[in-house]
Amino acid sequence: MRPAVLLATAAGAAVLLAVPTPGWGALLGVTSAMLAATAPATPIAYPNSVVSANGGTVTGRPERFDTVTVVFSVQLSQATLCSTWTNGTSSRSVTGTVSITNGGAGNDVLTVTTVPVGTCASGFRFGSLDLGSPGYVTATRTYGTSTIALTQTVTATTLRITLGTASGAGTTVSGGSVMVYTPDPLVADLSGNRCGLNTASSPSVVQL
Amino acid sequence: MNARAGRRAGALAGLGAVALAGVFAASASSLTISAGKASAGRTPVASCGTVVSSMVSWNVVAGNVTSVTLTGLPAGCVGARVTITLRGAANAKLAEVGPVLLTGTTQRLSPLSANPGASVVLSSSLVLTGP
Repeated sequence: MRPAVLLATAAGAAVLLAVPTPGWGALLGVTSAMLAATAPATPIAYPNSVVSANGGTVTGRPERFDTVTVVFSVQLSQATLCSTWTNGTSSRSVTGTVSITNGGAGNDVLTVTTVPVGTCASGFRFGSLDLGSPGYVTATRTYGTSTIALTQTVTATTLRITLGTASGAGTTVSGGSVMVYTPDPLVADLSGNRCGLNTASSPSVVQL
Repeated sequence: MNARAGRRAGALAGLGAVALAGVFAASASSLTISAGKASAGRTPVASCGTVVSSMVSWNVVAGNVTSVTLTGLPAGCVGARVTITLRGAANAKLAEVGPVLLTGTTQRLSPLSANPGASVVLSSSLVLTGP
């Protein structure tokens, strides 16, 4: 690998000089055909963690009272999650339907599918949670009267989903992969910084 | 080294020094370095594209960054090798990944040399080098 010099400005613009190994002090030769550099901004609003917990009877099987908890890095604008929510309240919840979509050979995916339109006119912008295994359901299941609860501080936002009554039984996973939470890209903090493509993964390979 | 060769080497060194000084002077406000200045009479620099609009997103596990995804990379940079460095307070290097072959305009990079807490990563630097 050739040594290189990166010069970056405070504004983030930068240029790279690729320098040949022998004696660049004597001869500043640039040998690369494709050069570019920058100092991209690091994310501000992103999911900082996601975990699940068994609240039912069997670990690894989606059941009533199982929970998924996501913690975000910032105080989110609540209206970007649910249209009528405002940031004047630091703790609130909505009841709706959560689905686990059968992924077939692919992983099953948990989403919030239905909430009262009078509360969240455009639905609840949770995003999606890839559960890390195709084995949690053999057909798409819905969990009615699930609770989506929000708690907020000035530095973080927590969403907790508690599964309600299942439309059918799930199956038990004993070994899968980590689950990956992808927030709705439009969810943003109070300054308008969106979650974008940032994701969070669970430490555990068995969920719910 | 004879006297003529010595003068030639000295002149080239001088050109390099002038070019480098020009870069430093320009970096204070905007970077307007030209290919001719940087190459000092040798192979010209050919930028693969504008990367200022490139974005960094990441995957976090329990508060720690485990991978980085780059988006908005110029198509002309595909085939280059990319390195990204995450930095913290006082510009300290916290983690790095690369150089790895850039295969598209969006690319996930892992594993990182370390998994720093996401909240302590304050900046990043992205470098693309040619083949």
